[in-house]
Amino acid sequence: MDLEVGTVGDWKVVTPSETRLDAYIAEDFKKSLVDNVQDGTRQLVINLSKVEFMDSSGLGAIVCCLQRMDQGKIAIAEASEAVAMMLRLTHIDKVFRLVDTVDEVTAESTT
Amino acid sequence: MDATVELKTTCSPANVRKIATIVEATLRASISDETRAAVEIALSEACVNIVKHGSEGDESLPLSVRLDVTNESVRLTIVDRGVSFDPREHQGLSIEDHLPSEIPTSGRGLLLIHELIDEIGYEVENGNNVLTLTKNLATAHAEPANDAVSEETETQSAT
Repeated sequence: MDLEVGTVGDWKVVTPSETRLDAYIAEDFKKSLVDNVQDGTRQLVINLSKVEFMDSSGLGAIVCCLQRMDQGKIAIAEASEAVAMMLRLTHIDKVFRLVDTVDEVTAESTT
Repeated sequence: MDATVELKTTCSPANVRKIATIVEATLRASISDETRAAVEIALSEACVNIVKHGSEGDESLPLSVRLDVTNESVRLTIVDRGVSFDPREHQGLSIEDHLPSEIPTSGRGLLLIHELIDEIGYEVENGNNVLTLTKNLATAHAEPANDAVSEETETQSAT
């Protein structure tokens, strides 16, 4: 699946182009994420600004990506209310940092 | 506002996406964003569990979803013919007590269903697994209906 990929400071920023991250696309999403951290990336921001719906399958892809990173950090930015609700209910917000904007986390590495 | 929609399809991830999309669109006219998101997530999780575990990979098995909306509740009745599984007997995975590096990548669907749904029913009838998920609207989430879903019964195919 298509991901827009960029770098800001010490963070790689990936933006899924899909509006739904569900079981139908979870395997492709996981592969795309893992492909993007195999270069040794240790700080990843996933920008969910285009995502309207995500279920536990989409979340599982992100967890899998974290496990492939060596002591990595993942931040999730611009989650919709529905996606943020799902992330809180699964308590995954204790593992991934949830931020309102990409700048909120990338700014820290450049100051 | 009373509305009923019935969807008949088969057990595949693509069809689960179609079902969830249709249900979400049906509710959009009259149900609050928060409640609608809760119903859509719970529906998706329940159907994905059926597709992944209940149907054992047989994408030809039938899967049907009936949506009943009243002023009091949104109810989903999900029927399949795969391996029986009563979600009331399983609370689902929590990440508590796991180190970040050891967090399981799956197993959160049941947790979400229990968190998001007010009443879960389950029975097996003539070889059919019948799961009912009810989200109460007691907190006045319901708003006046418009023409999109008003007092109608509709049968669609999601295939």
